[in-house]
Amino acid sequence: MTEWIEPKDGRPWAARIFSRQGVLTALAALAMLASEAKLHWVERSVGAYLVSTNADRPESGAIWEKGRKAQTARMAVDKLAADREANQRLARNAGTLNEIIASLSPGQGVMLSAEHFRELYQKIPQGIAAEMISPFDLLRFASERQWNRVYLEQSADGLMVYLLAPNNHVLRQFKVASANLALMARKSAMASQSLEDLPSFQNRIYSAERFFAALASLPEEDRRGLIPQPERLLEVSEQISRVGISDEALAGFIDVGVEIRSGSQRRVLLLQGQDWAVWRLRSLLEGKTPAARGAKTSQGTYSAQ
Amino acid sequence: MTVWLRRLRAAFYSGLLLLGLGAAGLLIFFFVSVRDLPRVPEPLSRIIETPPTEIYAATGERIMLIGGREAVPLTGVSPFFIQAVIATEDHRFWGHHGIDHLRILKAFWVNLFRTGRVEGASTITQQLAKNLFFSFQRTYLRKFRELAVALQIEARYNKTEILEAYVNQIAFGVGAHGIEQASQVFFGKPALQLSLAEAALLAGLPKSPTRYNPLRHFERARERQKVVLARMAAVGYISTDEAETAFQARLNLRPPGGLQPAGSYFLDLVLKDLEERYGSEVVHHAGLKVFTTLDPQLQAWAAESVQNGLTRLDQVLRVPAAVGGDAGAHPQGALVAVEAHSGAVRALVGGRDYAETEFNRALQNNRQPGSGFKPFLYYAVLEKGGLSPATVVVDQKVAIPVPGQPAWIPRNFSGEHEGPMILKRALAHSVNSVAAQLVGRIGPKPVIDTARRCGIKSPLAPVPSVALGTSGVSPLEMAAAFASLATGGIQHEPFWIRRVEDSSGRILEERILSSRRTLDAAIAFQVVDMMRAVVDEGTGATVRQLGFQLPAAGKTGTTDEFNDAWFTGFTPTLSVCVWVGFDRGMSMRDAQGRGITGARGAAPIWAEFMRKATEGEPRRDFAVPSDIRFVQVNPVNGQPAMPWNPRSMEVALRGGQLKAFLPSSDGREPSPTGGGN
Repeated sequence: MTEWIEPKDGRPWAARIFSRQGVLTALAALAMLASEAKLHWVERSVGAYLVSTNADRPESGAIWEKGRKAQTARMAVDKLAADREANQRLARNAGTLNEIIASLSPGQGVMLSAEHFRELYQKIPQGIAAEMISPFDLLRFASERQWNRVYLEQSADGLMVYLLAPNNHVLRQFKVASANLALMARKSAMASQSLEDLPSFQNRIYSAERFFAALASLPEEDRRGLIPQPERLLEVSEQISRVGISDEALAGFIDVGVEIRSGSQRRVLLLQGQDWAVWRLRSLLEGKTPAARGAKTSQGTYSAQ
Repeated sequence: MTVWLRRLRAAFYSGLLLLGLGAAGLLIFFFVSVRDLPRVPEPLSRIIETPPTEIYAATGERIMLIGGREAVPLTGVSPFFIQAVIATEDHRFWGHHGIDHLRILKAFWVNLFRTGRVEGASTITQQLAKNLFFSFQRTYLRKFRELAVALQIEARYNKTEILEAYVNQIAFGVGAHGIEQASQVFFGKPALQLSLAEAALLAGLPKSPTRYNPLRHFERARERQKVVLARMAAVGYISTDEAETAFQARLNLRPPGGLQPAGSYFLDLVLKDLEERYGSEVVHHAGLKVFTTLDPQLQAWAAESVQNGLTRLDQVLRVPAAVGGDAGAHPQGALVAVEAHSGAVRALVGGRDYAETEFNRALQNNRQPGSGFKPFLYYAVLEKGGLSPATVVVDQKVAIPVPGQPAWIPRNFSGEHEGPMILKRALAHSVNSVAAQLVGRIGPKPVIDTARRCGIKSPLAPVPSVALGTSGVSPLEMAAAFASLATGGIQHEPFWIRRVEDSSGRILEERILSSRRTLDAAIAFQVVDMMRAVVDEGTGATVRQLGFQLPAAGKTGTTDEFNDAWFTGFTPTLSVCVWVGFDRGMSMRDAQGRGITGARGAAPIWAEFMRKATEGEPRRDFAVPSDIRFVQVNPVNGQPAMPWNPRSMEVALRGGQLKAFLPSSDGREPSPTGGGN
């Protein structure tokens, strides 16, 4: 092993520096610098190293932050759009207005085609339907070919209905009060009940024989006023056991509940008779002359008592 | 051993030690600091995937992009622009590997030995790394990390990919990110079609997008363009002759109807509304499609009319041209145009220059409307006071008692009193003493109630002077409220967004154009008819003198000390409000000390805008309700007059009011005074 000896003066230092070994070392260093300038091997090496560690490094910095914000924002919008689409889908497939109303929270709305709304309108109990909008007005809008769509919007105190022209101009708007919505909801739930389950019918339940016998004794005009669509009853294949008359009247109509029995199952079919015709029948059934027309209650309905 | 040799030896060993320690330290520093370097997205094009929120005009034109990037491949960019960017930012881009050694040495030399000069050495790749991941904080650590990421990008991607990512994310100012967006914003054309001159102008902007914004500082931008062209010539992309020719070429900046710059009062309103509904993150990052009510052509005319009007006002008021960007030193203006039958805002100008001040005077200004409020008073008087437009009132000095306060003594603008006149004439000539008597007769509440029914939402003080417009309102409110009169009493809420969709076209919301009748159609028409007289022969006759001849109604408004000048008027289809005044509420007077009234300051702007907005439209009259009859009366005593009498005035009367003009059965003369004083 070469012993390290420190030179005592400058000459040996210079000799060492400018020795072949020293010059070769300096040349090697220069060659490295020159090759770096030409080949960029330092940059390439550092770059290659960083590429190899890229997957392990954090997703930080402006562009990632922006990406995260974009993702969050897109998710929020997706939810909004999905909720809206779900409501629209439900509205498209809904068989009754109640199904749509039940799916909407306050402030939410759905768009329906005019045709679909007309279908739903026909299924609304006549009294409520007439209070919403006259069928003749709907016919007029339909014939003018201006009416294109309907927007339903749930509000805290009812349902806003907008009949729209193609440019979204409102042709007619009306509100269905919460009380009527509740009534509609209640009526749709009647299908699987018996007349005793329905408080408004409890006072006036008659056997089917007695009811139809009384009905048969009325003039044709009264019968038509009482049951405007008798074919709905003719379609029933099961046995009609009893008929009830509601205590409440709404917009000139009184509900007539027809209880249908099928084995041990019972259901109630609701018809809306015009109040004057129902009162006549009721008088016959009770052996009296028609009573007073009743007084308005706080709910906006009329008591027939 | 000599002393110097010992010192040399000590220095050699110390240097060797320091070199070793430095190398070791550098290695440790490198490995430690790159551990938490940001991950580079793969592929690099992922940085430009965010869909922009797009805002559309009512005509279907896209007028603004927010966030996101309009990415184009390099083949979709003019070669001139690519050359210009490379020549200006990094002319050895194709040769280096993320670091330009020579440029670093030069920058080192300049920064060290040339006092007062700072030169950077960032390559395009380093700029890309900085823009993608780092803040603009100037620290050595940030610089090192930026350099490291640049080396990684160079190692992973080829030059074309790097350049493509770069040109698609650079900020050009006015909300334009990426060359395609910038090309559309500034020149209204795709990036591929940029000429040499246009490319050079755009390539100069990233250095300081605000300072070189050609829409605001055209000359500065031209100087920068010259530098870019010189660099292109120096690098050899073009000859000096080509550079000179390009510099002399005419630049057609932003044709009308192109993308709007981020800063505009209408878009500001839309954005604020969207942010309130959906949140800022969704608006800026979710890629919404927003369909607005704006008519770009009307908007351009509105901006032009306001600019012209304010320039004229500057001259009249002798406001110095250079006011050092002080928005309060110039008179300001606002214009709102509302579609009468829907409430859609078709044009909105909130001030002289959005870049100077973002304060939106069309909405946020709560300035006194002065006599511009009188139509609400006259409606209330016709409805509640049992008067007719032919009722005779007396223009005289009055003192209206105010409970608990000194009596209110309103003065006429002219300072004179004309004596008896019919209501229609009083409104046409904006007689304050009559208005004061009328509000004294019915009280302020019916006036406020009428204003509310027309859609005014600002707080209104229940004092008699409210009838003369002493409570502040905004031009948007006034335009929308007068639209209720234009439609014969049907009120529409003003709105500016028709529909919002997500990036894939699913509807998030759409506007239902509902309306409600809030005013009686016949009375509303009577007020409109009285307001027609304002335009045809009253205080707003300037409108006719300036050439607007279609059926229109309106009302001037001027506040005390001439602080505010208003004109709100409408045709059967469009309701437009114009306000001018100083932000600081200073008086507007010309060199002779004469004040600027609504007729002088605002009506000319209204007339210029309406002339353009209705050019070529057929003449449409206001719909006359069935129970309205027109009668010629003497404007002084309200007595029936023959139509050919030059002093007669036509008034619109409702059925019941006609009786006063028919001979009575007892043979007495008809008396149309209706109890007026």
